[in-house]
Amino acid sequence: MSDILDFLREEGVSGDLIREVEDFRGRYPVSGEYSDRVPEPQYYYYGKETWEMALAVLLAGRNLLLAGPKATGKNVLCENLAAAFGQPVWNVSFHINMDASYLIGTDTFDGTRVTFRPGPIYLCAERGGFGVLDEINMAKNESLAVLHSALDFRRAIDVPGYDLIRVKPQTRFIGTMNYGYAGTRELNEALSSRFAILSVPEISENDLDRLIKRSFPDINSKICTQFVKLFAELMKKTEKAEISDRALDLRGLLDALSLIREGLTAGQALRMCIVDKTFDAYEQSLIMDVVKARIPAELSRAVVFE
Amino acid sequence: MIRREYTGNARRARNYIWNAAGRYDFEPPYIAFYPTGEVDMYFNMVIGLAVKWFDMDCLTAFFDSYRSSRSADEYDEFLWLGIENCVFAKEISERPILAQLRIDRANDFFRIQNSLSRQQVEMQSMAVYDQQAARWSEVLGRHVLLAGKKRKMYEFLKFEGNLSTEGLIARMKEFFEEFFHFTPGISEEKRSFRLADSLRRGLGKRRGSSEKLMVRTADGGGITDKDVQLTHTAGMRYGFAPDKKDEDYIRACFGDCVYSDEEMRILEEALCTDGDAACRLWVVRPERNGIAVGEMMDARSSSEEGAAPRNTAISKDARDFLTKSADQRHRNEKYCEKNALMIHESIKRLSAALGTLFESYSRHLPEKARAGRLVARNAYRLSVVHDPYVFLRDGDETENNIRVTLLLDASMSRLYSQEKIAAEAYVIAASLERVHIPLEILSYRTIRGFTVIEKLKGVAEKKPESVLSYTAGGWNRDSLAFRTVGRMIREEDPNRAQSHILLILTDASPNDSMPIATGGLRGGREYEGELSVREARKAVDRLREDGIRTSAIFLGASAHMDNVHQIFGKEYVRIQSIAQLADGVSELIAMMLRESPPD
Repeated sequence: MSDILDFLREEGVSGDLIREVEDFRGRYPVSGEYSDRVPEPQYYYYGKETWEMALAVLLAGRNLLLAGPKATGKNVLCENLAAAFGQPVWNVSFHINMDASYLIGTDTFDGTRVTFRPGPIYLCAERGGFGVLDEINMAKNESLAVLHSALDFRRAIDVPGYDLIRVKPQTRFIGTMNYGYAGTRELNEALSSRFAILSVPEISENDLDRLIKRSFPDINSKICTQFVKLFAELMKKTEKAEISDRALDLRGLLDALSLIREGLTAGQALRMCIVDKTFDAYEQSLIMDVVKARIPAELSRAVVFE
Repeated sequence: MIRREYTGNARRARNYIWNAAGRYDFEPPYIAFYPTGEVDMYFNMVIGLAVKWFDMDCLTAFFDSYRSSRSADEYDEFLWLGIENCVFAKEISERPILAQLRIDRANDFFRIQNSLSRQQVEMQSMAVYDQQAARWSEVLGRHVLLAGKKRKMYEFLKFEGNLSTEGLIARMKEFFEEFFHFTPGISEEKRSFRLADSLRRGLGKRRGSSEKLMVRTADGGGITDKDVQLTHTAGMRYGFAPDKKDEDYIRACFGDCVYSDEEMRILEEALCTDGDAACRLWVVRPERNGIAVGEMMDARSSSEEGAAPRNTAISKDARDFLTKSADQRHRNEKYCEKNALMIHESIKRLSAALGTLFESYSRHLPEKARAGRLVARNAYRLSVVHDPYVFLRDGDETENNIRVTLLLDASMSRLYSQEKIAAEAYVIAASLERVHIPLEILSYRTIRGFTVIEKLKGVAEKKPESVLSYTAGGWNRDSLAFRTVGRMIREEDPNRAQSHILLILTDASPNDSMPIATGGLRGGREYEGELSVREARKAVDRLREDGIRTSAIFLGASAHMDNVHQIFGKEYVRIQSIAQLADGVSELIAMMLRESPPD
């Protein structure tokens, strides 16, 4: 894949912002030790306005919280941003039992003495890079309080009994959150005020069409349109709460196309990658109905790809 | 075949329509089924496409204009055949699969015709059949065997793809004039509706010893716009305190109160105050679960014989209620059997959602580990006894301190939805049971001045199916019932050791024949409308002040949406079908826990 900055130029993202990103890269090169942590995106995020807002926030030294429903490309955007800035990624997947020791570090016994084993936030702050706080609202608010000093103007983490860690200037934290999953919580004000919040919009039909065509350049254009419309119809059905968002899976749609290329029929591929993502038999029938009203089940590789 | 009513697979059919229309903000005027009861995918898409391409309000007004005709259903079939041709032409470039779906529909038509019984065939309109057979033959590339007027009609019904709404209506009018010499007129529906409405308004319910527990039968699946509306009549303006006769009736219907006379006196003194001063309470544990109704009636009769001279009118009413409530249990069970798949799926989804939810609020008990928080007073063990387990971390064992009470409104206004409510309560009960949350199920109703709380399932019992003995009948004095339930919860947990959640399945329409006592000479004001809503609101506020998280699962008609909002604030969820329960209830509980997490 070409350099992501070329892609941003093609997308029409402001030249000033791209130049500043290049400056950033120049100022904060990545040492060889961490170069394999700099992502090489498989997919690009489409949406000029979202790109510009996100770049501006990170260039200004602020942390970014990407909020939005499922299948809006939040994680793709995180990865793309780290690639654009040329920074290593420290990923933390949040869960309900997350606590401060998991994030910052914990005491352990190395056989001779009690030592400190650093956590991902500590490493990200100390060594520089982008800390991706995935599904940040899955964790309890109180266990996130330890992040406050790292996220605000103090840019430091004081580990009791150990050192005060200064957050490197190139370090940024990007949170992602999705309202509505069972178990998610409302982010409290103390935490949300430390982020610039970017509501990631649902992917437009036009952008999805381009995304599919970039991933599958040989796809038949008319059939691509039908897949795009299928996804839009599922999106609408989810929005109206007729089905849950389990089947609204952008990765699933792209995976289905890959499986068709491997030789499965469209019916088989969509069943595996979209319909059966939900385990509710009734919901499956509703999703299958939408698929049947768009894509013939027997559609094969020879027809889908030219 | 196109029908105007929603049955069985209606949600699936509606989804076809909404999907094809590209919008979900309307109730389809028609939905399509095959005579076998299967959902007609293609024709539902046609209806959706008609909504997409035309102004459906104008079309519906046109369809309504001939609704009073005896042949209205037949006309519908002709016109939809015409519309099918038109929307097919409009949509085909946008949705190429439509051509294949049309062929499938044509094949289905002939397949189903061959499978129909003689009686079903005889019930069909031959004129409609001829047109449909011709249309689907042509789609399959077969020869169309029609001549004369039929042929002319066939050609006429191929409405072109370039028609606008006005053009389509003009074509349909032309169709009536050409083939039926008939001009669609003004709908008579509104007139007949008004008449029915005024008749209904004239019928009221009377209080006093004639007041019976009404139990009825319908499909029980809930008809929200036809919820029973109880109306007070002028003759019952002044309430009377319930007397011995009323108490006997309550005892005969529900059995003995679980509390002693002395306990009840204390309870009533504490709760039946102010506006509810003249009311009585009765708390029972229904024994009709699993007991043959005959045995129960025999038992009641013998106890009545010993106690007081038998009043035959009371006995008959009570006997009637007992028989019908036993029937109702049977119907509830049947309903659950019929919808077993959906209920099973809902339980699966709700218990999964609740599992995640409660887990996030449960406390992890600490356990010793080799890493984690160092316990300083044990640190010496590292070097002295070489024990590395001097750290604490969150263990896998959790402790959950939440208890849920499900309170069901069992008043007569829920008459048309009994089976549905029982099934919904069953889904909630079974889901909570799966995630090991202690649950109590209560129902409430008010009859002859007694607010009766039935304990359908106790906390310790592990049988959610006991909720299937739910029967509707009587009034609902929400305020008194809520206060009583709050008191009962507190009685059982005097040290407030647990976090309590009270979920109330309600239609938010409090209404009782016993007026609100004012202490004046002229009795009180009716317990209905805004006043009763205010009373209920006060009771809910009181529960919340007392630390009981209270919220509603609203199952009523849209007309009462304001009430539910007034009584419960934002802590309610509206459920219209069992399939919505899992998402609705888990979201509601999530909201309650978020607003005030358990201690």
